[in-house]
Amino acid sequence: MPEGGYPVDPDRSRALGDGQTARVAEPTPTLPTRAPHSIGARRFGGYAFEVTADEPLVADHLAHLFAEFAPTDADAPDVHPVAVLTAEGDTGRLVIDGELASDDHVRGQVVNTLVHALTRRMIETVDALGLHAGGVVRGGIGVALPASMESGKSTLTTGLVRAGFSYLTDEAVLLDWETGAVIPFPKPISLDQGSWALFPELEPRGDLPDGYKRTQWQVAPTRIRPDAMGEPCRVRYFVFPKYTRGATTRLWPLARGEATVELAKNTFRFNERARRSLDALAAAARAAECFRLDVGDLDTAVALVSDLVGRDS
Amino acid sequence: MSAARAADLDATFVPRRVAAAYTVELDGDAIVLDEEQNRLHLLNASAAIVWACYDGATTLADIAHDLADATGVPLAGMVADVLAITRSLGVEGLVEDVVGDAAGSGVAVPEIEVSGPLA
Repeated sequence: MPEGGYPVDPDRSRALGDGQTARVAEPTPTLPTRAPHSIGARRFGGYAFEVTADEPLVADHLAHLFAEFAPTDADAPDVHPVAVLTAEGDTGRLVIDGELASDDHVRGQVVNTLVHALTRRMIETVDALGLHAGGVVRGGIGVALPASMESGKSTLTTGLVRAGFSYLTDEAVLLDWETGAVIPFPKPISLDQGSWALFPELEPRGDLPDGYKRTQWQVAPTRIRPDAMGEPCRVRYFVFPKYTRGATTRLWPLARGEATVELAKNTFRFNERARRSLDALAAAARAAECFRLDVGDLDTAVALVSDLVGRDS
Repeated sequence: MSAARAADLDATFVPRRVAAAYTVELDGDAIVLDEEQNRLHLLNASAAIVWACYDGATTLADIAHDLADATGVPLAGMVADVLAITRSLGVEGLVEDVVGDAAGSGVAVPEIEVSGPLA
């Protein structure tokens, strides 16, 4: 990587090998495809990207967030340039492939948008069955936590990692089509405001402006523990969490048939390849035990999942 | 042959699964994917057994007879159960030549989005 990052090259993302031009909207002349400070190119599945920022502090923050994705050659032709622009004005702009992807009114929120935008692109391009789920592993025993939004996936995942589990993902458990093994997806953990009091140690670094800590914290999993990243594993337990304020925290078994239907409801692009997905989900359920988990108290929920996995140790 | 209403089925009916039905069995239960409607149907063990007996050639009466023999359940009760299950599956649109109800209880699988703002 050149000192100070890569030079701005607004045309790079639009050039194709055959000399033709991709059908993308013309970027605004003042909208750079790249910014001076690069975090290096990264790759996951079929998606390669290089995030650049126009503020060193922001670039450093982003470098930590995406550090667990595999480095790749920044000059590879399939690397998508992603620019995070926060230095000018009061907004934060996100430019992907030369197009303005978002213009956030609060500067720091562009980091949230970036995390979710890249997450979406990586999930869409990986050749795996994607479950909307958190995932952790301990002693080679995988636990998937499928649930809809606002069910407490990220909170429970974070609590489990803090308790000694290793991190697989807080958003998408990716199952290899052939082997059924979980492909770790090391996106930053996205913690909503309701969880912040549970994890005060994970507040984003103090020198970032408040805008970077408003609405959602993006946390590198290695901030919980330097060795927090998990290895590929099999899902031994599907646990469907649902957070309800004041609820009694309890874990109870779920029949595999019902669990498979629940898994289907939490599968990305199920309808595009329904038969293949159903076969894979049923195979995964057959190899696992399934539970529902009502969560009113995080520590109790973590203890219940820990005890469950501890039975196999 | 014109389609029958589920409520009008009797023991002489010869059930056949709709072509769009794809079945996966799990611990005795069955999950039926209706690939035309993009809906999932979870069948309990009793319904899964009856569903497995649909071959397009055997009447409900004969299916009930075979199951009664196999399980020791009185024939009259088995006929009633097989008929009730078939009517339910017919309402769900899973049985050929039976008019389904568009508002059946199958699960329509939603399109799942990644959490967070779109960009």
